[in-house]
Amino acid sequence: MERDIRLMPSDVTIRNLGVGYGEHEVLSLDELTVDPGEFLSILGPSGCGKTTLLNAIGGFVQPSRGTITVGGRDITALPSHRRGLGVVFQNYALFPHLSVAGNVGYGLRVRGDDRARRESRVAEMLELVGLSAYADRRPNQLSGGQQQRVALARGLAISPDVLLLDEPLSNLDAQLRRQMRVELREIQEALGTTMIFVTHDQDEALSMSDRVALFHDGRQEQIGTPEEIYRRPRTRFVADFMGAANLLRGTVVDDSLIDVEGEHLPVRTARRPGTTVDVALRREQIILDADPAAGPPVGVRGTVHMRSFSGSHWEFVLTTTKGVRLTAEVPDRPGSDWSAPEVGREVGISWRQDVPHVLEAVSP
Amino acid sequence: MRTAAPPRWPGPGILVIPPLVFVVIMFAVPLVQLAQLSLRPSDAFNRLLDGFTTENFRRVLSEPYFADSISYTVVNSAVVTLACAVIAFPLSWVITRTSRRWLKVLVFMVVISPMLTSVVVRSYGWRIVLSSEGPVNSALLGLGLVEQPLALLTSRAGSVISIVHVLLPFFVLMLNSTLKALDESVLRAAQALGAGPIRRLMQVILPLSVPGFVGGAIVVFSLSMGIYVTPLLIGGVNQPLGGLRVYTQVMTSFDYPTAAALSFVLLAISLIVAGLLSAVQLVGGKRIHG
Amino acid sequence: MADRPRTPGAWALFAAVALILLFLVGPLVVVVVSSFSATSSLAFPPEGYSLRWYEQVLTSREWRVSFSLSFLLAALAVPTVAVLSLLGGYGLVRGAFRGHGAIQAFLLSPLMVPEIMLGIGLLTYLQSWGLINTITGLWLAHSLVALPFGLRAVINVATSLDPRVEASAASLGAGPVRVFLTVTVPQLLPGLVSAGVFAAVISLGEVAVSTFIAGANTTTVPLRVLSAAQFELDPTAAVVSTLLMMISAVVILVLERLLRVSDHL
Repeated sequence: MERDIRLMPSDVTIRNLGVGYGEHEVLSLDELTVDPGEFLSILGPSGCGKTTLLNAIGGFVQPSRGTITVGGRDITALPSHRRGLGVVFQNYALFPHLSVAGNVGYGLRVRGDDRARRESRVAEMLELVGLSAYADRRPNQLSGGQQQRVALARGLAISPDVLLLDEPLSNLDAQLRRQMRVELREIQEALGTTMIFVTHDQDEALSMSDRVALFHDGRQEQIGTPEEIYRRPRTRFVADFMGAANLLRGTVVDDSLIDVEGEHLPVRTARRPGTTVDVALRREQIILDADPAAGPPVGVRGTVHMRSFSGSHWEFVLTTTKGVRLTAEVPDRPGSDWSAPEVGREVGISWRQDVPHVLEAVSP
Repeated sequence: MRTAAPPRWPGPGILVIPPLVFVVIMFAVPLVQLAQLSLRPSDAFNRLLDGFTTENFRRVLSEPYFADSISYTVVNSAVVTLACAVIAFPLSWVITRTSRRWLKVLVFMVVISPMLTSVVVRSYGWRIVLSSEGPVNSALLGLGLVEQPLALLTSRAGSVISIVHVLLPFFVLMLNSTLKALDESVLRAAQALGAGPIRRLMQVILPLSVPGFVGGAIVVFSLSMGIYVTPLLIGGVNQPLGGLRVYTQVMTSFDYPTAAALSFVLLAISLIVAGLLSAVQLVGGKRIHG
Repeated sequence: MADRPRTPGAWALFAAVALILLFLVGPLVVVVVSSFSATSSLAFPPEGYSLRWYEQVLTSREWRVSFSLSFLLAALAVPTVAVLSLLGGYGLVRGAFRGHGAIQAFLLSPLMVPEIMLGIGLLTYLQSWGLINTITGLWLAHSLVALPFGLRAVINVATSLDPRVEASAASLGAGPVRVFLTVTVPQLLPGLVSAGVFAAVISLGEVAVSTFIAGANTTTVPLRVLSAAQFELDPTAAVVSTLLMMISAVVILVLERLLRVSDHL
């Protein structure tokens, strides 16, 4: 029986959603739209509300306000078993008393599929995740990665409108995690299922997603493509969470300089002189002792305060003459005549003028 | 377009209702009625009269036949509780700390075997052991330590020993849950800091086991305040134990109101002791956890 | 420390544990040995061994009636306690409602009340219902006495269940009742079986409450042992006690092998 396993993907729209009341509101979300077939990551530190959001979509917590629609169908008031969404949990939550095939076929059995249909669908799903040989095993006889695949196959077997994934890779070791990222994305592309993926790992979110929504304190801080989130953080929190080590608060002097604690740093900006701005500068964007032949030096002088070696890179903590502290990361260059400046040495600190990112919002 | 909300599952909490109803009907209501009974007057033939009286409680607390049995019972229960605490600790330690499964299962099975054996069977065993022709007396006579068999069955020691045997499993189970939670790394840390076995026991293990000891003591003390089957078989019905006095009032005098009053006095004492022990734990807990 | 008894302290611990175990099993062993006595005396050790008391018990009509009554009561108490413990234990662990701790304490409290009090309380109460000297009365009383033990067993297992397993089942389309029956109950099985074992063992051995509410027509096995031990000084009570112990031991060992019940008590 030749059958296309692709689904008609659904969109998800969340409006004015709140979970909890008053001061105990743990999640507050004005609007979030997930496109059909999109892979959206919900990223944030623990306690940011990302799992609450997933639980609200899955029907495991009752929102205090707002609506959730999937494919144009309002599911806000539906109990979880009428929502038709697949869920994959961090600890896989497999049924310990059922075999692998029993786990994957559970939703089909509930739906009332006949035996033949069930068996062919289970076989199809196990093949998709590469576990055809394990159909009769019990979950506790499988490795973590295999259990993960069973959970995925179980969630996908019912052809859900949307698949929700709650930190599904965080219990795996680093190597397996990398491998699963690729596999998960391949499966998503093969099936075209809309996926909402909750994680606290920014690498994971950046490398897998079509878009990333970053959450903090129960609110959405920013949503955008991985490049947007990484290169153009909107707030200090986003910049910090995405690993921008240098977050500087200063006043605009002119269109190419800002004043930070009396130090004039080269930053290109269209803001009016005198406005307070936050600027994010990634550590790898800082250049030490730029080659004067490459052009006129734009930068400041400073000294090395601390340095550490991490194999492929050197990390420096620098202090400018006026006392502004910056962190820089420079690739090690073994075999060249370059040597890492020692603690206490004076260095030139510079960067390409268009590189520092002026944050859209100034946090209080 | 809002889908009509189907009736939502009111939550697993409602599952509690059937057992709750059962315990209310079979336990709470009978106890309330017993309380009412303890406050009813009765005539010289122990026929119940209408009205309200505290006479039954006055009798129980003032007549030596009852009042002396109450103090005797409290002392007995305290001794039983202490003995259980001392004996339970090494058992619990082995059950929760050994990595040998056979040893764990063996000790555990032996410890709960009294619990799984009818109290009648256990008491009957002690009856044989302590009888004048039993193994203890045979041994004593054989060794020439005594000339006449000792009356162990009617001795206070005999009654205490058999009650300890009956109640020990409860203490061990309560202590197990605390010792199971005791973190091995805390002991390693104490050892690394130079604490020897005795010091580790006295300054680390025992203080951290206080909740288990308190829990065990509360259960064992409460149960021994009203125990009657074992002493009935071992020392006979005439020992001055509260449980036996209640039994006699019901079975031979048919004086239900006095029996009810006495049983409430026994319950009240065990609740007071439970309260005091919990207070000890609270104070001790504050000292340990700041 | 208990693993490698090399230090004097560890040896002392081992010796103490061995002595205590002897103290615990000693009286039970004495009962078993006495049951094989050749004479009617309870002197220990017996002067000779025979099976004559077993023959006497097994051919006695009275004992047979008591055994069938006790088995019937256990057969009634086991499902009652198992179902009530399952509902109560799971409801307490998963239910989010006010007064949760108080309700749990209340459901476990029959365990804490002196046995004599339960006995006379149920005596006057069941009298008013006309349930003294009836199978129904004993069935209800045995279920009440065993319920706290069963509840504890189910609570212990239910606490270790991961709610996300049930959430997964719900997300796959299973309604609450279906989730409970196909996902929750199978996972609670060890606790449920423990509850059933407690109910059987307690029902087969209960005397403290039964003494008050049983009568001439409802003399259970342990009640008959009680009166035999009090008034007839021959080894028939030892024989019946041995049989009771064997029943308990077989039940426990089989279940320990199947389900490792000792991890859930």
